[in-house]
Amino acid sequence: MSKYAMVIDMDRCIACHACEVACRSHYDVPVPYYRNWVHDLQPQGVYPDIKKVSYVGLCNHCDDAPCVKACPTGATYKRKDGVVVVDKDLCIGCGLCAEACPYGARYVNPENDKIDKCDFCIDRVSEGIEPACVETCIASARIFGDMDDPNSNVSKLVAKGALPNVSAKVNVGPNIYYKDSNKNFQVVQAAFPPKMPKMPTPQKMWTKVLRPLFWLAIGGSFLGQFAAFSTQLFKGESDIKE
Amino acid sequence: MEKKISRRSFLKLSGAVGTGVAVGLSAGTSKAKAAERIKPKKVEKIASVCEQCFWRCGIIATVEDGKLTNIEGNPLHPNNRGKICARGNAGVALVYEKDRIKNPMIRVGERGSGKWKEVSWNEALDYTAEKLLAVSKKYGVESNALFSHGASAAFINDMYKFWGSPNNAAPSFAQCRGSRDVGYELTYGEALGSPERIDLSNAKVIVLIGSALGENIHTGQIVDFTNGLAKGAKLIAVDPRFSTAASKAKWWLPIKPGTDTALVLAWIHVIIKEKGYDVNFIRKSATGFTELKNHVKDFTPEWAEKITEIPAEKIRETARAMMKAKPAVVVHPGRHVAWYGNDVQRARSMAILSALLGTWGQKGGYFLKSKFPTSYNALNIPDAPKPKRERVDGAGYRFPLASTGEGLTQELVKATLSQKPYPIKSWMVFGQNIFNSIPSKKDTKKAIDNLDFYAVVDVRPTEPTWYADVILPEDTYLERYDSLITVTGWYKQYVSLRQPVIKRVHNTRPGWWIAMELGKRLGLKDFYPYKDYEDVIKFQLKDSAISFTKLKKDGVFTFPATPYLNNGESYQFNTPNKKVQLYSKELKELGFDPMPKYEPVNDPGKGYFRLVYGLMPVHSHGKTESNPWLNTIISEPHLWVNETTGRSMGLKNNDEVIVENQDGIKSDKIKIMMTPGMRPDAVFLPHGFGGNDRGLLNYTRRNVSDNNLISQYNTDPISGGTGLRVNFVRLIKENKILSPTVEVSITGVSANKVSGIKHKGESDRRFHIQPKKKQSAIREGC
Amino acid sequence: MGLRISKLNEDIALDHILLKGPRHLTFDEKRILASRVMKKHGVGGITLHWVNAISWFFLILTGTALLSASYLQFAPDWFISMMDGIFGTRSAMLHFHIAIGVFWVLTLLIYGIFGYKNYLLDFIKHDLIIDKDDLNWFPAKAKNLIGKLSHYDMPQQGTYNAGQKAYAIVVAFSTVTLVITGPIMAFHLGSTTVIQWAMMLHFVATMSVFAGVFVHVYMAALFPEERPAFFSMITGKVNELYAYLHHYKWWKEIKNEEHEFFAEQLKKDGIHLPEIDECKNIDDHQVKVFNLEGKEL
Repeated sequence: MSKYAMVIDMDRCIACHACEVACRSHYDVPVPYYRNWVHDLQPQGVYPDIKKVSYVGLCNHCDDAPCVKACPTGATYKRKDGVVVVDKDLCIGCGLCAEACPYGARYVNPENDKIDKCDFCIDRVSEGIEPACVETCIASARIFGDMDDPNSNVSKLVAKGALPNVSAKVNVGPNIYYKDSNKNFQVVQAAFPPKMPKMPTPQKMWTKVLRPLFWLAIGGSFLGQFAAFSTQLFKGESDIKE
Repeated sequence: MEKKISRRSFLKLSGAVGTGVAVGLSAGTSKAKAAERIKPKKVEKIASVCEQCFWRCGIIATVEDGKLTNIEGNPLHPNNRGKICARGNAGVALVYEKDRIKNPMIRVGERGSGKWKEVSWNEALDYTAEKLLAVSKKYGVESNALFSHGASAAFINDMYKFWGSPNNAAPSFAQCRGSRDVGYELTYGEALGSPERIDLSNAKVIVLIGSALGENIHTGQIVDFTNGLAKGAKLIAVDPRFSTAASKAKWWLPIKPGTDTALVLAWIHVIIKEKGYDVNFIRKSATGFTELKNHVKDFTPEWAEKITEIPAEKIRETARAMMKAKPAVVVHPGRHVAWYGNDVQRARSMAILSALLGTWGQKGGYFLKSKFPTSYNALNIPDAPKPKRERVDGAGYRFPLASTGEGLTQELVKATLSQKPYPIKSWMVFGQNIFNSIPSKKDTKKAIDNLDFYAVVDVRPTEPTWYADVILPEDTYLERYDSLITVTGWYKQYVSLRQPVIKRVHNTRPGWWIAMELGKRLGLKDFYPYKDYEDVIKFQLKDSAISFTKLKKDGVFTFPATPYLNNGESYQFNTPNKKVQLYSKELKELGFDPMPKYEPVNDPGKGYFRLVYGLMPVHSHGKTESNPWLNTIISEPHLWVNETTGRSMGLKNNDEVIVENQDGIKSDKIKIMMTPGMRPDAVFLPHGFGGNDRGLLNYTRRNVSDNNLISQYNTDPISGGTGLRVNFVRLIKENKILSPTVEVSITGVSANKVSGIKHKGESDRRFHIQPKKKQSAIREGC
Repeated sequence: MGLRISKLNEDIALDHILLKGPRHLTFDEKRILASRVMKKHGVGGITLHWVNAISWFFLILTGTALLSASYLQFAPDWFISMMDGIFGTRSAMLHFHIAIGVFWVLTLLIYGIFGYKNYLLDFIKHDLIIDKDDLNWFPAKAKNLIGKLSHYDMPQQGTYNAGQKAYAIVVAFSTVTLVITGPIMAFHLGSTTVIQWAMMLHFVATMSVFAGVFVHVYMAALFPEERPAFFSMITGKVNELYAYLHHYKWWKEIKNEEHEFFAEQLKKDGIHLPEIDECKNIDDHQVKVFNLEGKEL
């Protein structure tokens, strides 16, 4: 089976933003939302060690995707080939997945009130074409492939040291890697670390307090009734006459 | 209490069931279905050519049921090779931009009042022709002037020629690359062309002076640039700003603005002194070496250090890198070089540097033009008449080396203002934003007051349209044919076809049709023996090696090229003695320095910064400001300010300031970006924003235009090109003028102060000298 | 409505005596009461109850199966897998859930609007309003269940006892919550924040009812003393003894209405039906009842 992943070659990338526009064009992503992004950081540092870098990002199709764990209808799920997708028939647009995403990769599309995000262009990939962002990249700085194939370019680049955007606190197994020979990636990571998956207050109340309470209540009431029922059987049915 | 069991309740229940099921099934999918991509019945992929900038990449447009939905690079096109930049991708949004001019309009109020009436094409063209003929009758046909730009401008250029007016100007020469082409022609007998014939992907050292590749995006060039860097090319980025290119560079040389020629002369000095030049090439193919050697003997790195603020050892180090890597060194000639009015000499110095490194016709250097293996049929039309009067902009005589194909825009404006040597009484502005490109905007505006007639042809309601007497809306490049684009200076020779990919969305027309219809009304029907431009192209290709059907399908037709010299082969340069002119006799005869000297430019006064401008990868000049797909990425420019200097003025990142130039011209509030990657004596403002485009209703405009602040300019006496980086600005916050309290030098080296230089003006012009060689007819490119 | 001419003198006397009650009954009294039937629920009410129950059944089944994400999941994995197998696609499950939900809401709305007086107001009056007796019922019932308190010493209950009322209140609040939050979630009627809160309240409402349903089913159906209650949700009728013992205030209310109705009718014929206070025991009471033609019965 495949495990699709992407490597961003920061040495080659010139932050021209073509990938952003190509993706928007392919999937009718309404302004101002986006499926992928290039966040430019201003040149920083101390001469002569100045860095001008950009955070090139998209859905990481994480191995342990917190968005999948947050979807109330199971609309978002991870396919066997590793791609995390959203079934628009099941999505109710509650946005829990978007809050859970450490990378801010999802948005609610106001045109259909459903969640949308990068799906690794599976409609193109299934026909043997590269994802739109990869194809348009002028600097050939985006490499897409199968991590389960040790000979693929992505596998080779990761073996040579391309790193994912993880932190000590948040590592959900992202599948976007960054090749960088110039200590630029750490600047990006410092500015855009993955965020702790967020659960909104009502869901926190449910998961942490209410759900366990109800489990107790239901279990308790079921057990209670079962006990009463057994007692009844044991005692025999009492008459109306008392 | 009894309750009736009624049929009613059963019916209600079954009704509820039915509705429930129906609603439930459609629940959540109704809105989704509305926005869902309903599978289109007909999907076409049509090849064409982009025109979001002037590189003209090949594209494939996806058209679904007649609607343009996507643009991708054409993988068959040898220039962009299947890739396309952000602006190219966003061409889809341009076609459907809400504020596009949808119909011809004639003004009904005062000029600039914004009152229009929509008219038919016939009425608009009749009106235009009538007005043009009136000017012609009263003042002479030459009193009609044309400002044009873009691929489709070729047709209107021709029309004016057929009509007999020599007065046309495009900004591509005087405000862009004119001076570099003149400099290279004087040296090599030819320019490097557009697309530039620089072998970036095979270079071992790349030298960028300005030319912030990566922020200025010409797709095919960036493909080569990034490939070259990935193969290990070392980059020298000479730029007062830490550009994207600088971030990829082995050496970022934060040069003092205006001193680049001194740096190049110092490099030449080192290369000659340390005998790092290509001895063979110089011996066989160049003249004037002895003079050059003598000329640069005092231009030491130490001398240059005090001018450029680049440490001498860095100058040596970079020169040695070039020497070591020759001939695989690309010295990028620049693209927009209209900086200080001494730009031809700077281009000369860069051409000489390349010549010393022997890069001509070599892999990794400058590659050669090839010979196009086939020819096109020419239309059987009369010759254009010779104009009775000289053109007023001085191209070809006052500025002997200026291109008459492109003219000198600012000179045409000046002539219209002064009404000398003869009055210019009508302007047609075709695809050029004259308020965004030509410096000293107030002159341009004032000149319009002298006109009897002012017409604009454009796609979007840019500021120049606001004052027009008539507006003729053009098709976007995706809705029209243009003339064949033939390129012989690339790794493969090619001809690409721009054809309509969709039916036009509004009541607009293509440039070829507008020129033809106007021409016919001006009595020029003999020049237009066709009805449909597609027939012209078919005719042109009929007897050539190019199949029209295949070209229409693929979008491009390629031929092999011969970009490199064979081993030991010598190139016959198009110069008087067939050799590279290190020493230019021609310049000497015209009264200019035969070898480049460092010509200083004024430093900014106390509390002022030099205004430096440039491009962004997401925008194309002023064309894309209102494109929703692009202005969601960058909607307004940030002003780059040196961090230390900014802090000393009490500023923080993202503070809003007003920029005021030396003539008191103010901008709207603009956000600043404080960075160590900006020289303290300059501020950088991305170009193209802030045009006062009142017709752009769906886009928030603010006056943050660089061109608004460029009220002063120098003129290069050799080419007539303008020097635009001679304006100085100060920053105002909350009505308080800010002044830096520290003197910062990024490199630790301080330059000598320069001020009070009198720039070469009109009085230095030699009117009567005629050039010995033909100036280039730059038809390719912009 | 016809006159219950077949009523025996004894019955009437018994009613009148018992109306002063409640009190311990003799065997005969119990026999008489047990043989009599009272109508507790009409067809409309019965239908509504079962439609509700069936809807709830399917809604909880599909709803908990839909909630598969580990952060929110309520049902065990094997249950969710089983439901996935039954439905084939989750999309089908969601649409089914929404369809049943819409059907359920529409049913309630129809009853609530067209049956405003007879159903909605009636339900509120008898099933939702708590009085002192209801509050005292809980500790009393607890003692009763462990055998420490007799039936007769428990606080009198109305149409529905306090336990039933408590559940009815939970169901009522939950129903209102679900009628609001269900459409919000199904048709995206609000921002993501609104939907997130709606979702949580939806789960809480559902599970509150679910938590009580075992008790409700046991106490109403399986618990032998309450067997008549179960049947009343099928036939609509309960025997009078059950009503007298377990829902005295309702029994009394019905009897008072009947008494007033008879008194009205008999007065027209010139017969005076003694007031309730006038009777002491069954033997004291002599009442002659005549039909409309004047014949003594």
